[in-house]
Amino acid sequence: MTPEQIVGQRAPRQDALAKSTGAFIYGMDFQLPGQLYGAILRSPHPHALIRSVDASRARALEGVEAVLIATDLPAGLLMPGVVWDQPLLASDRVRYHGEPVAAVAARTPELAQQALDLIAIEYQPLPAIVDAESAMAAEAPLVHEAWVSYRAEEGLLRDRNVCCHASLNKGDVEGGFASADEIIEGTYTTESVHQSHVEPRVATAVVLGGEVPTVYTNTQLPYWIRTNVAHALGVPEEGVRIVPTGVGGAFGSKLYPQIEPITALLSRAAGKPVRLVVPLSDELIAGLPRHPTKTRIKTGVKRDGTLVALQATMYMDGGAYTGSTPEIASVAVLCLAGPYTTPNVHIDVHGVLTNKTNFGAYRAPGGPYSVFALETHLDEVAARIGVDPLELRLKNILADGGEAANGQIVTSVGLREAVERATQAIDWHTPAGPNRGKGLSLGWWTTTLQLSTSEALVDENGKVVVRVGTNEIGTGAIMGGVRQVAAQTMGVDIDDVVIDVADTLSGLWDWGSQGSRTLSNVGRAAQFACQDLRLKILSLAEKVLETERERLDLAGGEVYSIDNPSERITLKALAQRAPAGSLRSRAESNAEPATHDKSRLTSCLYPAFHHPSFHCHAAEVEVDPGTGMTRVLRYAAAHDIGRAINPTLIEGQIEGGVMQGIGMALMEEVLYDERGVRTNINWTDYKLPTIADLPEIRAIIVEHPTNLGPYGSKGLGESPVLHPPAAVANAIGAATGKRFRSLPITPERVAMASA
Amino acid sequence: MTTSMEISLDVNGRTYALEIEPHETLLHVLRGRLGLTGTKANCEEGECGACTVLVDGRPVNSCLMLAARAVGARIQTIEGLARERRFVALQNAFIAEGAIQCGYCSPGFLLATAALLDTNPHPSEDEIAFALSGNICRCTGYTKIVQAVRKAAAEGVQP
Amino acid sequence: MRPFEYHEPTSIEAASELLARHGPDAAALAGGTALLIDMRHGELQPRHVVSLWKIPGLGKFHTNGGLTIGTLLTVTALGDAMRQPATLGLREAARMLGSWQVQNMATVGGNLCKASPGADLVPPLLCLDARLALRFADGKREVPLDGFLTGPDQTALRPGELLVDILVPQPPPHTGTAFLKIMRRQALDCSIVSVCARITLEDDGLTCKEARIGLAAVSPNPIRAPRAEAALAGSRLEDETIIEAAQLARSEARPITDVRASAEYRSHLIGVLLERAIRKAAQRAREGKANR
Repeated sequence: MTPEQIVGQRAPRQDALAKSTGAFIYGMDFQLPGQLYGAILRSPHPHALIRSVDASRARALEGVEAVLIATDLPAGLLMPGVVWDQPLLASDRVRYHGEPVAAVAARTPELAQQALDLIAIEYQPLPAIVDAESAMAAEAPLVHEAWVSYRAEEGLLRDRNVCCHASLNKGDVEGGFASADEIIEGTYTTESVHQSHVEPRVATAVVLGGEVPTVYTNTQLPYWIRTNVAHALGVPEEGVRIVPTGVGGAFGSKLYPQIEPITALLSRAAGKPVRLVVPLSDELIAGLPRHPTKTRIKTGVKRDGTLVALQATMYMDGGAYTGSTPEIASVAVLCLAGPYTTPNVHIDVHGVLTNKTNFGAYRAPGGPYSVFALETHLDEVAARIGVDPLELRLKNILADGGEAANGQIVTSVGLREAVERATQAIDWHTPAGPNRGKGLSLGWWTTTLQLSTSEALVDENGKVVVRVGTNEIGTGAIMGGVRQVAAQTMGVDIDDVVIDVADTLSGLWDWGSQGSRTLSNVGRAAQFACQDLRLKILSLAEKVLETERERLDLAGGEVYSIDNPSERITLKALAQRAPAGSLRSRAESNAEPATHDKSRLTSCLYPAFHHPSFHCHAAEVEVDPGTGMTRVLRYAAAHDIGRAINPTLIEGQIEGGVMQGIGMALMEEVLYDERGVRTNINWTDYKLPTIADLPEIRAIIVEHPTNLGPYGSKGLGESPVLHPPAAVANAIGAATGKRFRSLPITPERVAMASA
Repeated sequence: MTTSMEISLDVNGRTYALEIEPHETLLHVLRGRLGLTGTKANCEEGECGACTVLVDGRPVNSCLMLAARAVGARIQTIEGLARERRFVALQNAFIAEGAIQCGYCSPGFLLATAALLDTNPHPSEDEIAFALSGNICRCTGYTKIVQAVRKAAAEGVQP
Repeated sequence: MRPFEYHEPTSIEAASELLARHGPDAAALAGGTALLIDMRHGELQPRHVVSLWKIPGLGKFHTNGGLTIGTLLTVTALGDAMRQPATLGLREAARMLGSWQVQNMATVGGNLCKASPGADLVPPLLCLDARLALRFADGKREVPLDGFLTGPDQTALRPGELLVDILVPQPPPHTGTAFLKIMRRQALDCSIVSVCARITLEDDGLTCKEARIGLAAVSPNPIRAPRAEAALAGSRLEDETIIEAAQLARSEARPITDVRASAEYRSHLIGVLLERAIRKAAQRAREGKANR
């Protein structure tokens, strides 16, 4: 594939071959000789005081080489975050079912399990707070009695169980309601859903005296893991080496240092490498799944379909620790506003602590439940005034140069095109048949920014090596997209570029593979590094070919004289003549965030969507009125991603996100009993979509380039999960005449609504 | 009294003599004792299919099969399939169609697909769905996997 | 999984003796798809696992008159073999039991002896009046499937007794069966409810001579619905009769609420699914040739 054509092509990924043959090494496959096996003992209670812990029998068990309980750690050690409220191991109380209380390392996994069974803990169970709204009541018991004393980010509004309160105010909602012809209200609830990556979470730590503490982990964010491991070990960050392994799916779950710090401490205590795998049941009990939410929306609309006022209040169940909830609440604010021109908007999102697992970032955190609430609500608005849901949207969506609710001006707005193409693809205006219905959902989403660092070099074989500081988690952003960008920038064949994921000793600081940022930011840094490397190559070639740099070009893996093309030299030959280390460039990407109107936002840690993407999904479903089973027939998903670096990778993100969203819409639900104990803790009872649930999915690429990512690209990885719950719910509503305001819309709920 | 037993397993055409404990599953023996880590582990309940191997040409969940039970059978893992001529069309199709993202489920899908096309070279959509509904993919959303299977079937996956 | 001693007896007598000797400390290994999960969760912790796979003759399949299905016949093999209108319900149940991978390992006998409330193969086998050939050391007996399951995870097997064959009498001419199963998604799940209906028509092809109904996941074990069956027998299968039969079957079930579904929804599903299964079975009975 010639260099001029690489960007925009369906090029194969660097890692596909090894993944197809089973040769690729994931975290789960990574082993070290002499390793011990770690295991974590977790609380069976959602809320309890710890009266006593006796680990003596575990310590005495032959083959057990380290046992850690809270008293083995520095007293009062809390882990860094927006609020420093979380210990590594619970000490005086446990706050959620599955909270880590102890950890062991032993010679075999069976011995490790036996050691856990020998740790005697006396719990005094306490009533658990299991509902966010009631946790806000004045008389509600506190999840954290010492909440006032915690170190917290400035500007965060906290009050007892409320760990954050993000709000947006634009215009005057009361005035808006007064001017409305119709006012529609609704309450929408969603349960938690779990990332359910097919590869478990696993880390192998080597913390031996005199050596650099090292943790091999299938992480999405090596530098945050480094911060936490260093903090746990009490050593400077730069002295800790985090080595990213292959990752078998992440979706936000593997951003968090769930096991690396404790594994590092086990290794240090034992003086040997320790490998710790989180079994699926533990992951389902105590991972970081999506926040449960309850949202009240009130809309004022004119008879002609103009939205005049939107008021939304969301209660976001944050679980037992603050974690990412404040930032996610802020994102929810922007999703609840939607990409609409509504002149009067007031939104409150309360992040509330309860005795459940601390909910965290799952692909588009803050997104799907907000879009579900808003977009199903808007269908109700359309129904009230007798307008086609599509017409209502088209009348109120932002266009290029428009102002979003937070005051940011949006450009490169491919929204109308996305809406038109998605709805056309399922023949929106043709009535669906009996028991069938069509629904749509639209929205906007961010391209997270922050720092990415990349290094590009030419090795002695003339290959371009691009080193990055974050991991390929499966999307292909790094092993596919960044590679194509680098190849095109360098004017070499794609097979002459090697992408190397570097460990943290490289210093290639990166904000990670998250937030739809990877290709745009890592690719941008790689592009800058390659551009600089090009200059160095041309400067070196200037001497070798005795031709001015401006009259030289680099293409097809060779530098040649523009005026006399037979004067040329291959990169390999050039590299062999280069002084050691000279053909190497390092560059950063740290793009400017979007500006917004600060006066409209309070305590919003994520105040704007940078280089936003715009998207619309349209679904056609058929509902079996007797059984209530919904079959999604056709599904169109149109995404404005700026510029398509690789259509196959883009379609892959869209199709994958759509199925995750269909799971959330129809079958996935993290269940607790009335005491706050997790009930469905295996994949037998936490149902994931299988290939049998697959509709005909049409992924539609819309391109309105922006000036962020390479060649005008903007983020994509998350937005596909935003819309399926709303699009499918709206379609089911059209098919059955019944509105479903909570998820998942199971066959039982549909059948019993009509029975 | 020891419970360990000596068994002989035929894996990818090679015979391995092993001393195992009866409670070890085929999955555990393949990954832990034979170092064949292409077969993946997670749910250990037959729900995800990442542990799929072929036993006498048929896909099974190796997490639900005792290694002792696999004696006398012809076991094939992804490492074995990858050496066969019929793998080329499968591999090309999966890669070209973008059916591999994180890839953790891919060995299971490739083996199940090979088994499907072995007995049913031109499967219908329903037959593809039946054969592959025991394999979970969380990344691709299945669309490109189906495309890859169709493409491989069209090109002919000759054993 | 707790370590255990592994036995591979080569005769029914030897297996029987081992199982009798070790009693509740032993488990028979057929497909293992249910056993290994129970062992991993600690619900079963046998010290002795008795593999049945070295015993000759347990994987047979004969069609001479009726069907003789060996206990170790895999679910895949069962589904492959069922082609007649009279036995299509059994094929449908086999194809919906777990996944292809599970079907390749799980056995007919194992599905029956595990005795799950939702055992997929039981409703069609009840509809086909299946009988079970049991062996103990050198003794044997034959019992109807109906009555063999005595509670969740419980059977009428005596200590040391083995199920060796499932015997299906030749279905009468003009017989059709149909099986329907509802899950929380389109594939690979335990039943919320599953039903099988069998309709045998008179020679006139219109009057129902005999009916059988099997229901699973709506009682401690899968059951017949005799009152519903009686309502269908002798009728011309009019819409009202079918609806009435489906409603009668609802009254004969005792569904519970669990992690998969509520009792109300299960009860509702019985009615919905049975109407469809009865119609489908009747259509197959009309279209089918006489069974050989």
